[in-house]
Amino acid sequence: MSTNVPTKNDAEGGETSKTTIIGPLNFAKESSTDPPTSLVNERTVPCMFCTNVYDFHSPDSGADQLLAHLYLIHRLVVADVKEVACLPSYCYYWKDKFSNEPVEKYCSSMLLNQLPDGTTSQNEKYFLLSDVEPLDYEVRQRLRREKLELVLTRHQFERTDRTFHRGCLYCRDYRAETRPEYISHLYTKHFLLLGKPEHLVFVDELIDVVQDKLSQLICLFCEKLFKDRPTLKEHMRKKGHKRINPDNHYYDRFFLVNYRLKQKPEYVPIAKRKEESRVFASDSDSDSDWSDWNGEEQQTTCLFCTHPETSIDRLKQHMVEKHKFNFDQTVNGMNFYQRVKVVNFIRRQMYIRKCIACGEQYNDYDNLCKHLDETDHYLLDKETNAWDQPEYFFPTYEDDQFLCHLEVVENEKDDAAQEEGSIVISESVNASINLAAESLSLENFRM
Amino acid sequence: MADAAPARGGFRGGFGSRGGSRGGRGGRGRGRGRGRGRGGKEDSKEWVPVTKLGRLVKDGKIRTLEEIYLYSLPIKEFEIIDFFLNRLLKDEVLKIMPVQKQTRAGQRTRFKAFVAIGDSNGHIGLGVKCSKEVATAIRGAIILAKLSVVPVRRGYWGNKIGRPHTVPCKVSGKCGSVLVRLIPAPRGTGIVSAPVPKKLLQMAGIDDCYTTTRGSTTTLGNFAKATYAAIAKTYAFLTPDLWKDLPLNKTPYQEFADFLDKTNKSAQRVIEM
Repeated sequence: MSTNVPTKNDAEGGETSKTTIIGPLNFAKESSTDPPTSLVNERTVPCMFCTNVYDFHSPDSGADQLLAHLYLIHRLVVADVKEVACLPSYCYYWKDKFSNEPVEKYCSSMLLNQLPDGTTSQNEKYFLLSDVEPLDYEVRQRLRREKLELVLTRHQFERTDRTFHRGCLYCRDYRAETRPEYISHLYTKHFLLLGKPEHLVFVDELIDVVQDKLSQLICLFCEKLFKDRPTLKEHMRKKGHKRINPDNHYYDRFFLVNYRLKQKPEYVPIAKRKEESRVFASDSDSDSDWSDWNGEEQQTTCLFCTHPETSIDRLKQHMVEKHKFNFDQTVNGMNFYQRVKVVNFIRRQMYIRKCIACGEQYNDYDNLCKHLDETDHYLLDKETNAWDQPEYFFPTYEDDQFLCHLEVVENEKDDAAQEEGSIVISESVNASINLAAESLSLENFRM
Repeated sequence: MADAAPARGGFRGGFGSRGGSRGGRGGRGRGRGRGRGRGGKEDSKEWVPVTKLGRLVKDGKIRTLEEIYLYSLPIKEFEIIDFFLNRLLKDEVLKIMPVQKQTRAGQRTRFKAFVAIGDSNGHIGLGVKCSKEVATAIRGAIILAKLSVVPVRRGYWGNKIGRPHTVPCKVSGKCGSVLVRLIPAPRGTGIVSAPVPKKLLQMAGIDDCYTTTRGSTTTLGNFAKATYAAIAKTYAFLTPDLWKDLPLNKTPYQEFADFLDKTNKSAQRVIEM
């Protein structure tokens, strides 16, 4: 948003100062990255003891290779390894721990009468890393939580993101914009059932895997190799193999339901599934409780420097200490709209490097600060009221949280008094017919 | 290329006809039937209203949603809202969070979905639903949000040109410890607030507004609810232009009493309003 500023005359007369038009300003940086698909780098997972790395995304399972290596070379077994939410993160964590401390500290050891490769021996020591160890238990819980949150964020992103742009696997000319549309298209037009879009996550990877399989002429369901594409297509069509095999656990990570419970839910065939329970069925207290959704504190930035604070009182304190500027005193007696103008005025002047009291222009921030410190101009010029212009109704920074804390809201009864300086007219309130809605309802209206 | 073209032709040829004979394909059964599962699209079942208001709406006796608001009739079926505002309503999932409960068999995780719904032109609703599956929670939350749709009164700053763009007066809403106050702003200000109320105000159709907040605004749930309460209050506030006495009209139940009697079969159970 840019403000159109009229030219004004200086106190000396004759000289007009043109103020520049500035584009939209923001405190928060634009976050343009998509939500991540994994907690840590899963392509170069290191072994906990040596420097071998494993790629968890390779077709010959990197996870199995790592576990085999741990057993054969380092004689370590991880208990309930299938229950660990994110094995790469787990490995990173324990690598860090084992680099400083001995293995025996965290693992229980057992003696067996054979070597890892099966030949008999006497009293060979093996180590078991399980959640009996409290640190391990904590790590597992934490990983489960983090993984679930990651998956939910990714799922939410994939539901609405419009920058997907992928061509259909079968037809040439279809391009979907969102992932749910793509999956639905594959089902409705080509009968390829990957799953309902709302139950899938990491869709990009899933499509890559499916595309890979099809291009290598391997059937998606039974994994048999065929000699050419028409044969493959015919096979998949006739046998009803145009879907994911529910028994194949490789695809488990693409389905949201698998991240939920400790026990994996059993697969119920579509025909036998009961009708999804009516939405009003269970409504315990925790269902409609709004108060457990917690977010982060919003940051507010100081008017004169870049010091951020989460509490407005601490920020005002900072301004008193560092800049000798008492906000409450300065705006004492002003109504809400005047305070808004004051804040926007100060922000603007600081941005274009002008002193707020005398209006002197500086080239950079440091000189301006020096001037303000020396001349003690951390105050407003009460004579000219340069800040009392209508252009300062508009916020200088689009996400300026300072403007949300300008008056003390005592209770709801304060609403009655209308502020001076504003005339607000309400819209007329007859049950006026919304033409768009009326035309829609007339479509549905049947005699 | 050599692979692609005949593959496509063969693929299409395998079905015997180009594109659209869905009925033909479905009818051939065999392997095809298995692929269809529970139907390609969402089943659009016909709505059978169970409340008196629902029956009046379905038969077109009530022309606008505003008539229902005028008489403060409680809306118990979300299809009523759908009937008037179907394609205009856009829903947005604010958050999906997992909630856990400790049971004897371990921890039971359910998903809670917070959904806001609005047409960016005077209607806003909020819903929350908890369920074992994400999709069910979202669907349930959307239904509850539709049931909570309220009208939003807007106003003009200064001169009455164009469409109304800001709140008509200072209104405040409270939920838990969070108090949100909405203050009228001149055209072009935009919405000056934290991200959560900003989304709600945009969906309600308010273009310009200042906000002031108090309380623990980290509880975003209460923050959203307080904003919704504040927006809903815009029609509750008695401004001077509403002082005029309007003639007392009959409620739709009285007006269409004959129609309701006629269509009410005695064997059918109807929820009395």
